[in-house]
Amino acid sequence: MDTKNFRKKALLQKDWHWEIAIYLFLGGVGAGAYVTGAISSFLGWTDMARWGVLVSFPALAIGLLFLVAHLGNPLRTYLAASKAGTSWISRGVIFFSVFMLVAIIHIIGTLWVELSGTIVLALSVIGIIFALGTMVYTGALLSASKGIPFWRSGIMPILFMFSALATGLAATVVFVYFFGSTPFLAGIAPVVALIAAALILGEAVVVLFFLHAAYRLPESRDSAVTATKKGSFIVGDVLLGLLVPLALMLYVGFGNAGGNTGTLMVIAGILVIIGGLLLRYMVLSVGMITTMYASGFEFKLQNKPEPKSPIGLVPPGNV
Amino acid sequence: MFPTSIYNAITIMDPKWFDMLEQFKIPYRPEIMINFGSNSVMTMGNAEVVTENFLKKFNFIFSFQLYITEFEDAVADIILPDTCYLERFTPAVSFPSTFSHPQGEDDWGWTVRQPVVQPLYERRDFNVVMLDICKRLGIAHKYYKGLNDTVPMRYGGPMSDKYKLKEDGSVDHTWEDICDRLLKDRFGDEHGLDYIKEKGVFTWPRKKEDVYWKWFNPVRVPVYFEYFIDGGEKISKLMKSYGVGEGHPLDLDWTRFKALADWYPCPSHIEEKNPPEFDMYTFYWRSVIHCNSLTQQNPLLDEMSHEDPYVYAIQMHKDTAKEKGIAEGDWVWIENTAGHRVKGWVALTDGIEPYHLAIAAVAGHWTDYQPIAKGKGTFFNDLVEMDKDHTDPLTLNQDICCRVKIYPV
Amino acid sequence: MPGVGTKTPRLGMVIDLKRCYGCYACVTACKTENFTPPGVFWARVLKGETGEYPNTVRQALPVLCFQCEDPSCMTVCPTGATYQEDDGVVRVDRNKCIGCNYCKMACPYGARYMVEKWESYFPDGLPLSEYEEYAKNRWEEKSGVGVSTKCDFCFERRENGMEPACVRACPANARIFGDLDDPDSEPSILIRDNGGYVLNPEHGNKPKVYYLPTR
Repeated sequence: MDTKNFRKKALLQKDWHWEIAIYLFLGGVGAGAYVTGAISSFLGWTDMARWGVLVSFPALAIGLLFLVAHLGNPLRTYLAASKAGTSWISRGVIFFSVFMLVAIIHIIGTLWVELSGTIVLALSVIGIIFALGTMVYTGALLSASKGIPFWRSGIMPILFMFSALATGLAATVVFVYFFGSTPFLAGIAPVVALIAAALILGEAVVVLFFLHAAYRLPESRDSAVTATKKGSFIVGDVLLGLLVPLALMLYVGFGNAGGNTGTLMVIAGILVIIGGLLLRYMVLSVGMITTMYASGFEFKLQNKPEPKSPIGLVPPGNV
Repeated sequence: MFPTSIYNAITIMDPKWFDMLEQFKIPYRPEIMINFGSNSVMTMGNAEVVTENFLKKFNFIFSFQLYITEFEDAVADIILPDTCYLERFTPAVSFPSTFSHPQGEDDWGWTVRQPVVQPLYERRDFNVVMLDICKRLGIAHKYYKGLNDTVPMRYGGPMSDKYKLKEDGSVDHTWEDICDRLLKDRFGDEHGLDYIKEKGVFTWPRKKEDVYWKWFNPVRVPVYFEYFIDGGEKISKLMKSYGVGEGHPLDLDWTRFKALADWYPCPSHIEEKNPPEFDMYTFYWRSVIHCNSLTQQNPLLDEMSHEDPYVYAIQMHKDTAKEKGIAEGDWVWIENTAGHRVKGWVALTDGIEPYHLAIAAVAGHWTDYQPIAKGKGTFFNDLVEMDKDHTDPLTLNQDICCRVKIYPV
Repeated sequence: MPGVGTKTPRLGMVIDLKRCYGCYACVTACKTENFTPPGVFWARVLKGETGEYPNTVRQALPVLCFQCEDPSCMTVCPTGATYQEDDGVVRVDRNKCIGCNYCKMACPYGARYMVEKWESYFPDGLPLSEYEEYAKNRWEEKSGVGVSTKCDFCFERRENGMEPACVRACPANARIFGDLDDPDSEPSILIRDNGGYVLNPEHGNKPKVYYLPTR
């Protein structure tokens, strides 16, 4: 075990873990997929439109389940919208609820009940607004946390918005590939791939910018350094989640992938989705508790800083 | 009664200490040891030496203890569950001779620990149990005499006849009665246990003579300890009469019995006795939250020990650590010249001399009966050698300065 | 006694770092008064070190909830469970808290604690003693499981005219408790005369626990 940074490890926040990461991730996927679907419907990309909207609601619902499961008192969740004036959770609950409502009506309209074009248009516009609100909320939630300097960044909402759009588009593409009509994205595959590439590139730039900004601030430097040393982040998110799919999407967009177009885009899509989840997880897991300063001393709120013993108990001599 | 003080290292250092009793023609042999809430396996010195050379020589050991320690685990035959301090009367919490009392012009005070709850489980106060045992053995009057004799030693002056325990066995003293008599004797008829039970603390005004005592006491501080010379001659003569002369393994260095204070380096400070790789000194420091070896099993104190960056760690200067290739949090062995070694993890600091290692508290417990304390901290005392080399002949005090080498686990 | 009088006081505390020697008596007193389970430190002592050998100085820093005037925990609380009393003490309404831990993330001074499951201080498998039962019941009755908890300057003790337990326990008189609105109160005088300051003012929370410099 790496004992060198045991004191830094003792500073990591341990209360928001993978449930929240999944929630933030699925919230982003749902919102991104809805935006993809709604915009696709304007462009007349029927498959994309259909699956974008269909993916959104289940993603949000499952995400919400993870959130509620993490609460200490799930039965009181209904109280969470009480303070929208100050609390980003309350705002998020409102965004999330309205957005989920719009999404479910849109899904009903897509699958079972014929809705008029005006209603669908109105739904889409409201849905897109609240979807964007949801994306921003997942980031703003973290950036309002004064106790965790790494999260207290104005870039956080932008980062999560890019990631949400990229993962949402990726999720839509994957679903279209497996369940949509053949041929896969007839005629529009290169355009979709280029949009995806642009989003991924945007996300990559924001990730870089975010980490650099965190590194430049002394109080969040340790978190940024820890992040860049995390294998799951560097390999899982940066390499497999951003660079490889970016290359694949660019290849599909500019090159001539021919018969491999679908396969390559699905692989890229799945990688983007996994990368998005790992990004949320990284951001949560490297959050370190803030430091206090008094009379020239530095004080840290550590939680049981003690390295694990490489050998067992050794009683002395013959006792 | 054969009280063994922890400083009596000389009785422990020789495996054949019963032979020593023979040498000095002591007609009896200690057979039974009664232990009160102490863990001498860990608190004296190297655990193996203490256990093998000393504790295991007793035929029978019984021990009053709040929870089972390494002592009970290793050598006790019977363990009698003792009470917690909140479950019994302790008439003297702070002995004037041992503890310093608050300075300043506030009142003097005397507190008595009182039971605030009934003892849990089957725990009984060791004072009550000892009285009980003595009464059943029919030696209660001797026990009372022992207490009467102890009071002048511990509490400053003998008790008055009015409150002395009756040594003829005519009165059956209970522990509360004994506490009551002691308090009344020291603080007056009206300030007995009943007063304390009601008020909790006994206070009386402090006079200016008590505060600025130096001004009112024209004392002279002795510069020459000429009585050491006389004392040394007497002891030497006495030992010779028992056949312990020059060259005998028990013979002492008589040149140290002299009138002027002098410094004699202990083995840790004599370069020839220490190979060059033993380049570190280690010492023990007392953390404010731990008292000897018993408090590591207290879960509140254990939790707070984790809060302090150094209580469970071995403190080491950061430059020395770098030189030796040791990083913060590394597990290391510390080994003394006799080959005894202990392990622990290193905390780097600037607040220590280079080439010194600081270890807190009597930690590093290993018995399964102390699940909270087990395996935490470093067992410093295991590095303390108990032999004649490490014993001061003048006071028979133990040398607790250790020369060690440090290497990663 | 603070808390008694015609005008509502603005309760605060001064911690004199010159006097504190890091004995953890406040932590113990807090734990025994409030029966906080393992890992919960409403009162806490941190240790710091500065300077190069041989001019190294170590310092203890007792911390607790600073009962900020502008508490970020209250800002982010989505249900209004976190609220401020008239005397400025920030408290949690356990019947409204959903246990989202957002307050913990938002507190720049690490004063928030939530226990998901009550745990004994002693290892598993042992039956609880009657005192542990009592501690468990008190905790569940007063603070609770699955809700955020924090220091409330010993609300119950203050109601009974007593100082907070940590103040009472401090052997060095390093903690002074009182009304910050009263210019003649001991804490006000100390803050004014001895350069009292708050920790990390950049967070903008306006803490009501002040520190006096180490020397």
